[in-house]
Amino acid sequence: MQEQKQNTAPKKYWLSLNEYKTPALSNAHTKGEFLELPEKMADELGVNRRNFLKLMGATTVLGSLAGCTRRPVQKIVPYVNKPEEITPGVPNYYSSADPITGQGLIVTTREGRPIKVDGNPEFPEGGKGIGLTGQATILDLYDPDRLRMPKFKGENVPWEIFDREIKGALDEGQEIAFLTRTTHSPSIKRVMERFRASHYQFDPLGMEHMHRGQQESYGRAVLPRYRFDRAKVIISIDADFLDTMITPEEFSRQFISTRSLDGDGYSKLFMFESAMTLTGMNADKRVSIHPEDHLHLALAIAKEVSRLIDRNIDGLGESFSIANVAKRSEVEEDLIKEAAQQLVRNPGQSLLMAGGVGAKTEYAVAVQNVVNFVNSALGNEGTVIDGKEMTSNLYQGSVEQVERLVTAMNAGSIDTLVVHGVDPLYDLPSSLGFEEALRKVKNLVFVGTYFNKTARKAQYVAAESHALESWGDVNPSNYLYAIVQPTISPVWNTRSFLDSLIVWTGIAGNSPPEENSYEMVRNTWRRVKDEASAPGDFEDFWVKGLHEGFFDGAKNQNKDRNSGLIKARNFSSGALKRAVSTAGSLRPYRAEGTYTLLVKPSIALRDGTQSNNAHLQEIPDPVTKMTWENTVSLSPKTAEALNVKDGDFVNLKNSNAAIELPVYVQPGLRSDIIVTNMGYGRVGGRITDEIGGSAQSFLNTIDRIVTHVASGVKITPVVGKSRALANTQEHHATEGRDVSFETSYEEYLNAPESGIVHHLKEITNLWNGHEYKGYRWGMVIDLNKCTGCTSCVMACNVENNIPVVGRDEVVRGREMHWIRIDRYYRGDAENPEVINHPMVCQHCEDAPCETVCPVLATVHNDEGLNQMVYNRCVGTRYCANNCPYKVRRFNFYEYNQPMNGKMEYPIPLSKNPEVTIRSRGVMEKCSFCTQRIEYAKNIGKREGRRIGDNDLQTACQAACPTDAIMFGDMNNGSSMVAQQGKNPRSFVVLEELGIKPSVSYLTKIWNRTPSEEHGDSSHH
Amino acid sequence: MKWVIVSVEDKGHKVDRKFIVVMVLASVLTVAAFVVYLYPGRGVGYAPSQPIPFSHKLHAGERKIDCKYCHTSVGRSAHSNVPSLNVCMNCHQHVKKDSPHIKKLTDAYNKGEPIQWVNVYVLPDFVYFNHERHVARGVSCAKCHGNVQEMEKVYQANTLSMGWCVNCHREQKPPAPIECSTCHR
Repeated sequence: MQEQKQNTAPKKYWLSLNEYKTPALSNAHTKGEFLELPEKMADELGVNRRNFLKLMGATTVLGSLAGCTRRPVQKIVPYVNKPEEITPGVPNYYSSADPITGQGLIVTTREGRPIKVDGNPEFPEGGKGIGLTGQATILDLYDPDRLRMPKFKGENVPWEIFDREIKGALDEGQEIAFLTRTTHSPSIKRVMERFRASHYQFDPLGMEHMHRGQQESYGRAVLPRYRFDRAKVIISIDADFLDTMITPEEFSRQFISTRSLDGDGYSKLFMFESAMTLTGMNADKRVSIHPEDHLHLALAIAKEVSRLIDRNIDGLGESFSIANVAKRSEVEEDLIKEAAQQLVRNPGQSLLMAGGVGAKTEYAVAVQNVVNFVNSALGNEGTVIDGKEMTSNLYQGSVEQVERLVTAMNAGSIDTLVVHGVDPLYDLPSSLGFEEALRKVKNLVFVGTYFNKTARKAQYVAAESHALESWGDVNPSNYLYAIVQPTISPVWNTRSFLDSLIVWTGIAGNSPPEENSYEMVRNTWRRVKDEASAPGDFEDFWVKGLHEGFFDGAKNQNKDRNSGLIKARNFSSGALKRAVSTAGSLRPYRAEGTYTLLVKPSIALRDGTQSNNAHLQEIPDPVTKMTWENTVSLSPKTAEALNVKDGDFVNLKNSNAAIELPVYVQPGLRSDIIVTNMGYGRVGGRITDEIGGSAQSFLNTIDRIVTHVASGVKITPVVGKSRALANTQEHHATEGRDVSFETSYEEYLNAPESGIVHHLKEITNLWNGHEYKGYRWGMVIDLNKCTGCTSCVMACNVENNIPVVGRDEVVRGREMHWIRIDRYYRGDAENPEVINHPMVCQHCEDAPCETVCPVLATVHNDEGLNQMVYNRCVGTRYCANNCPYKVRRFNFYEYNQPMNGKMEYPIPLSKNPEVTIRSRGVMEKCSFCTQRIEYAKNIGKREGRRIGDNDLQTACQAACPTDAIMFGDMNNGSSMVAQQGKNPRSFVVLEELGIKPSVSYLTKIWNRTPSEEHGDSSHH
Repeated sequence: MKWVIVSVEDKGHKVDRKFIVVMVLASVLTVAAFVVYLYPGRGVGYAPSQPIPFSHKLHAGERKIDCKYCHTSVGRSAHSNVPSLNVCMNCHQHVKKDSPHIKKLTDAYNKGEPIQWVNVYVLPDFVYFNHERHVARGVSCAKCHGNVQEMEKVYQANTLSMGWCVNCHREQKPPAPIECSTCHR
């Protein structure tokens, strides 16, 4: 080995508290490549060497006999009348939209079945990012646990009988009420009007505090459109806009665009937060606070901002001075000062943001008012915040509406309640008294996809089709419309909500003007055209809408969605006064011996609507890396004080609620805060029924706000009850080697290559190297653009038929994901800094895995791919042992076909026919989406040209909301990857091994001054 | 090595001749049974009966209908399709309407029930063959499928083994790709 040459000492990272406390290489997870060795299992089973050999002999005989099975006769079943647009073997692409988020989708179908959903890159808001939940929707479509047909009084009945029976409930004379999630579909709204019914909306991740803050501050309850792309400084008080808040994918894209190194300047994100969130992990400065101090912190910033801009504000007394608030909140004075200064230095280009659902307290409206004041005072209102033109139509529900509904129900004035899209018996805090009020309602109609808590109480359960099976439309933002287009006829005997409503209007005495949802959506589209005075023929307009996937009427109104000035609204000073008076009478949250519990939506499950999706359950949470269950996160200090460790069960109890959950020790939490995730403990499917505990009972309704922060929670350890957590953070650990490099913006400006530590100058190579005459595939991952949102992992799962292994197997470290997001901490355990590092097969030129395979099942090809040939693999697992990046995954069981080599119907329909279903005993790993490469090459050959960046995207690349992943031909000088190869920020992981990976990374750049860099700062 | 034939009566070892005959017969039968059992799909000559005895000899040979008239997607997709029933009906709504087989076809078409043909050229699931590329390179159908125009009943004309594929790829000028990922994904 050559002498190590180090320009700077490497920074010290740790993956988990275990690694933090004990040096690397000494904990169980890093000892061996595989957590559980077969020898150990054999010992447990009582098999000794002699028995093993006997069994081995028997296996050989049985195995050779099993090999002699008659090959099954395969049938070819052609169409009777082949649809013109379907060619077997050629994918079709359709545009559609997500009815909940309103995001534009591109649906890939093969032989008439959708197999992949991506974001529509042309979509004006959101673009191509659709997040984990959007990527996973294809697996909801093929979920065998969905409601398969309508139920009347618990019995499955055909639709004709169901519709006949429901007549009485919807007849004239019946008082009908709808309770739904935010409905922005113009068609559904139109058909609902035909019922003489009241409509109440409620969102499990409600934004009522924002609406009310807007109402009090500006006189109109709207959900403004935030423009993070215009903010040079963002100060966030528990606004987790990269996690789950409103439209996190769009916000991610906007935020990352302000951190481009090509433009002028570089944005700065301050995060004052009570839990540890993805947004906090991406913040240049993260500060732990208590939710009780939100209002005081906001007021202190407001006071300091007013002072700096010479505006005299009455009523902001001494109790909101920086010194007093700093003392109260345990936040350093200088930090509050710095935050205010940063805002003032960037008037009209900064943003003070608050209002994350996971830390919503009863005075969230007051916090909104203060935040609105500051943004108005600095001119951010009207530039960074658009509350007038392109306002959002999402999250229009509120608990206030539910309160009115409950009052009406209790008064006996509602005969029939139609519930759609929500599970009020789960979602609503019990303090609202919805369950009791429901007894006064004669008929409960439930429209939905799962047999959940509410459905179990309903006489009428109308099985709803998936969005990919239905016609519909969305209107997520002012002027912006999109069509929900079906790409498959319903898998089960289900009907869309829109279709059901149309049929029922006929029953309710009004003959429906449209026959079905298709006609209805077309008629709505006619109105959209007229409203925007769009010129031309309707048929052309309709086809264009279907083809492009959306219609943005803003242009026809001479308004530009993405540039141009927005008119600022006038801030009403009364709102600030109200906030100040609220701050004077805060209910104290903190009490000796108790903790404050945050019930937070997780990025994978959000409100839990898709909690029966096994792929979502198995996605490691970006922050905790937990899968398959919800835990309670405690700070290391709290865990020590209670003498509990990961996996120990504790009881959480306050005056309203109690729950028993396993402990997860989370660095970066305050010691008086504990955190759990919502969305678990739902019923209605085999997966969700078994998983986690529902923390919903800790939600409360105070002053028309659903609070997610519960005070006075006592923790009692459950003695003797403990289990291993399905947590992936120590799996595939890199054993303290230098993997990730980061630097500060200042240092980057001085030396663009700063941060990168080279261990070896030159390495002797034993191999001849490869020659790449044609294509040479490579990937570049820009760590500076990666937020760690994990969408890529889900996209890869769907594209490459990656199986779910289940909780027990994850505990054994056998998750099969081909791409993982390594999350490294740095600094002290109380307030660490974090870096996210996506890790895929590096397709090394001199790959260590290739040299050890005894059967040449993994070999290099002439385009730089490290190929994995499943049918040649005999499962020695030598390759995985020799892979320094730990990206190889072994099929210990028949994960993909768990039912005696079969998949449950309709799961086979979800599989990508271009990727082999791997069976037991073979190794697999990232293939750079070789099926997509072959498909693109075929097109290139057909058209007689070399394929470029526009012809080919890997699944992870296509799903990345911020374009952090680039893939292409390194032999083509103009390709993205070839260009990035010259980037001084470029480095390869474990360069010192000399194995020449085809994946390179670009350093992460923080907007931190050197003094802010804490932890191990030996590099200065 | 030299084979040594030892008489069963040698060295005074008395072995029942009948036993030997039975053993030999049993072995032969076992082997024969395996061969018969494993026959379908294994290599050359596999010619399963189809639900309608469609004659390629008549259609492609005597009537000289181009392969692509029915197998339409062969030049633009990895898969070559078996024609949908409406393609058959293009002619057979007029031609040989009274034949019992065509009646079966017409019946299925009118009822909207597809015909379940038996796949002759079966590739394992981990092999991804692309018809379009081969047709575009000018590889004739007969190169793999044999002289279909002379087959009354279609049979597998070649082994379809990996060696058979790779040899052909090697013989091309310039050589066709033989990387694993060309066919395996």
